[in-house]
Amino acid sequence: MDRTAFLRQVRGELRGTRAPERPPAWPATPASGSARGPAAVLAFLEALAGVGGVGRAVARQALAAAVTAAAAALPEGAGRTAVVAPDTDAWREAIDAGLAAAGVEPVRPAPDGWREAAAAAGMGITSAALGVASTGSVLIVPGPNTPRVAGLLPEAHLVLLPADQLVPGLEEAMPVLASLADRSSAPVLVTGPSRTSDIEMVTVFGAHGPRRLEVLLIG
Amino acid sequence: MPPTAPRTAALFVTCLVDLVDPDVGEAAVALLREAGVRVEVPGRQVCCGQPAFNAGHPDEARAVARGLLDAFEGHEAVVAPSGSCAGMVRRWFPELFDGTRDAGRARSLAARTHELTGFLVDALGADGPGGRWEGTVTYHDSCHGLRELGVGAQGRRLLASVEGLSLVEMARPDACCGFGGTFSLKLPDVAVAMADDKLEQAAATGTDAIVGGDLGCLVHLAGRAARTGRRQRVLHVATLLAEARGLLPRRAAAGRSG
Amino acid sequence: MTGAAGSSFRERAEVQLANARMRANVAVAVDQRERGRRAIFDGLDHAGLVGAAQAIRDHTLARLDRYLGEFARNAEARGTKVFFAADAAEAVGYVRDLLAARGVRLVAKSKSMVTEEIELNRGLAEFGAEVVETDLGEYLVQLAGEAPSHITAPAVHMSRGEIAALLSRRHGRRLPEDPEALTGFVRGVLRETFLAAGVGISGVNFAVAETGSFVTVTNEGNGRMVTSLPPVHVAIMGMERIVPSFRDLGLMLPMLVASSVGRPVTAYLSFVNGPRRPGEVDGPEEVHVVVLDNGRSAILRSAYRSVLRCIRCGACQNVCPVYRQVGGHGYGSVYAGPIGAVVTPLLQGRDRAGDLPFASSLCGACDEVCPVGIPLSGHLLGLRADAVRGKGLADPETAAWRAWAAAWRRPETYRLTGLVARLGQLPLARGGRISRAPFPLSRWTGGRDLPAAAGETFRARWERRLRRG
Repeated sequence: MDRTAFLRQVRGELRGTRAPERPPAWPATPASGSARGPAAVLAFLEALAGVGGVGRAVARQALAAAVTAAAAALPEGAGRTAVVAPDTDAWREAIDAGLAAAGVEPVRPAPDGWREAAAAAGMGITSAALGVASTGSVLIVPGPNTPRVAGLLPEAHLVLLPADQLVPGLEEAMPVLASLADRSSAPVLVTGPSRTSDIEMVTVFGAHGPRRLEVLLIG
Repeated sequence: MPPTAPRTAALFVTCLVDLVDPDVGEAAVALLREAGVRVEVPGRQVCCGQPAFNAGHPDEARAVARGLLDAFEGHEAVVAPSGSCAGMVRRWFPELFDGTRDAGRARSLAARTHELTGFLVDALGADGPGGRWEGTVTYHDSCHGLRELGVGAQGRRLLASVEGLSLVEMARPDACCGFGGTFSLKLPDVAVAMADDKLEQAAATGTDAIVGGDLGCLVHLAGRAARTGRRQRVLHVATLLAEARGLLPRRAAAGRSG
Repeated sequence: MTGAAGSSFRERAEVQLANARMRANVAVAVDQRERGRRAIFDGLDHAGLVGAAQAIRDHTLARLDRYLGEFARNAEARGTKVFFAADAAEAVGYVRDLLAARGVRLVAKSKSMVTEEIELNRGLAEFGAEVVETDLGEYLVQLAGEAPSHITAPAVHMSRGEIAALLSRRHGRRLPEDPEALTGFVRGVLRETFLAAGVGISGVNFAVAETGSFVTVTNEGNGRMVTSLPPVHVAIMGMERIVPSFRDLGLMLPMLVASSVGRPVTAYLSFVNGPRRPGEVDGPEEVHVVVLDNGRSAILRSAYRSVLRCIRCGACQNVCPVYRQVGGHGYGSVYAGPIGAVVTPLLQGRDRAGDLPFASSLCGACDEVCPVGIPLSGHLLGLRADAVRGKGLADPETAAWRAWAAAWRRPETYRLTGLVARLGQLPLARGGRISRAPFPLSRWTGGRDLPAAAGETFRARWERRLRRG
């Protein structure tokens, strides 16, 4: 239907309607939070554990060991490669050392090789733009250095996030999301591993996306 | 009694109590008197019109409901032994009469109308009549009393004053029993299935009786219980309280509503 | 669409009531959901949250034309194509043309109620396309040739045994009756679909006017797959699914998810700002949004506008005692439960679903849980009155109510009712009970005893005593 006509019809049906104001504020939602600093780290780890995710606070020097532990936890039968997104280049040495210690090979595909490599990989490693302390969510922002498939197709997703990038609650993530409208085609807030309870309400992880989600909060 | 508490109460008998189980009305009068108010029963009252209103016939409902506006004109408090009928007046009369010449009278009656247990506890500050009743009961929250008037805890509080009685909550006391007025005639199979759920949960408490504040629910539950050979009694909370206090002769028949 | 055309709610309910396993499964599922919902709002100001969410919805609906225009402009500025569809035929036609133009036959689809509403899958299948549902529950009901029975738990009526048998039959192998194994099997099947599909189709949970963005909410991640892997992504939204700004989502998203599954957020809140940007590694080259009216604009003007606040959380279904007995299929409509009983006659016409508003005991449980404060019982009452008015005065039921009102509007004639009842029951009553009565009371006595009318009414007793002094 012609857009103008469509909108004109809607306007016609609304004639004489007064719009109430939007609320300037609202009470705390189930996703609101107030924790900052070290309390935010604890809240984040607890919330993430609550949805079946794994979270660890690690010092920068201990990053390689944490990567080793994450790679060692790969489920049996998962590919022994890890696709590594370029957005983690700041931690490249620690990542490679950590993977090597677990016998997992890091792969950094060319742009057109990402889908195939990610589908075959046991693990995808990306950074996150922020974390939400109250919910244990991480914000993944696809872009030239962050392929979408890195956190979607592998059996496990390892997320690296500087601990000072936590916001208290979901409301505080919203201005960031709004600002991303011109910078990324599809940001995603990921909270725990992919899961379903469609069969008799029994929770099963790894419905379509990663069965395992681990977040390293780097302090 | 709070200093602002009403001194008189006009009993809104409700058509169901009037026609089917007058003892509930007797019990309500006795409990109100026991709590220290003078009780009147205005003679020209009939029905709140809810059956027609819920069936999609607001004009017919209004024609009947107007009689209540006349009957209870000038009474400081109007009390019904039914959350559903009181809820009809309190929650829906202002809407039903909106835009008619009776709008003001409807709002006034709505503001003065109470459900019995809510009135005893909230308006009169009663702690319950006391007395003695040997047995265990479970409490069914009738939907309209609970959701339109916030009535639920009051009935339980009154029961707590009775010696020898113990209350065991069922799994979902606030789930609808399936009566729903004309719903139970329009979709009898669904209504009966809902009653079976409720009776099952009530039976699981192992108590002697199901107690509630609305005769509609109780008649529905008692009727289904009788048909399926269940042994729990079904009792109106007013009847039980009045029996316990010796204000009414005790009934023995199992399964009988009221 | 489920339900044989022309069947009544009463007939469908009878069929569903006989399905004991379905009813048991539904009861367990809805109780679990409702427990979760109660727990997560425990200690929070639920009424305050509902008030705020309702205000956002009402504000948006009152300016819907402006927000839709703003959404379209901003979406197009970021490369999304926006199409406005007046009805189901236009929406389906747009998608069909798109498939034809791109030469696509395989479509991966994530769960969307609005695509059920417009029967998109049927429309595309007729055209020769294969549309695969990728939400696990939705995939199962598609394989079974059924319709979803719950907004957020589409296969809630099936048991693991039925599911194992279904998948085994369709895929020619024996699968165990184990949710984990069954889920793993479907994961493998659908992974291939995601990677091979030429078009991904999703719904829209919220669209954001200020940026032209939209968000899909899933736990499985299929929403993310469908919007990321195929080269073309088509999103279909009811025109009311809009919020002015991202800020509003800070409230609306948790209200949706908490009311639906008792969590603050789902595993994937997937935002779409448009097609893949220059330099991005992956993502669809084209993103299309179809904005659907299909009867909604007519609701805007009516007394039922607030039904368009609905954010499809399913909380009203979880607490509905009627839904609990008959499941989603009892309603014979895409939208079931209290919201379905209200919105279906409004969208499809009163002639097609006129009995749904009567499929409620008016217990009011739905009103209490609705996160956007839709007065569902009030709307059911209004729709009942509309249905009665539509039948006119010749309707026998209306005639009966008029006769009732004529008798009960005065105490003198009301008293006769008691008398008539007492006389009428004489041949029927045994020991204070009536087990069989003629129509219409046979509707009652089919499954329940009816108490006999009292020998003397309360008021007759009272007046007798007053006379005695």
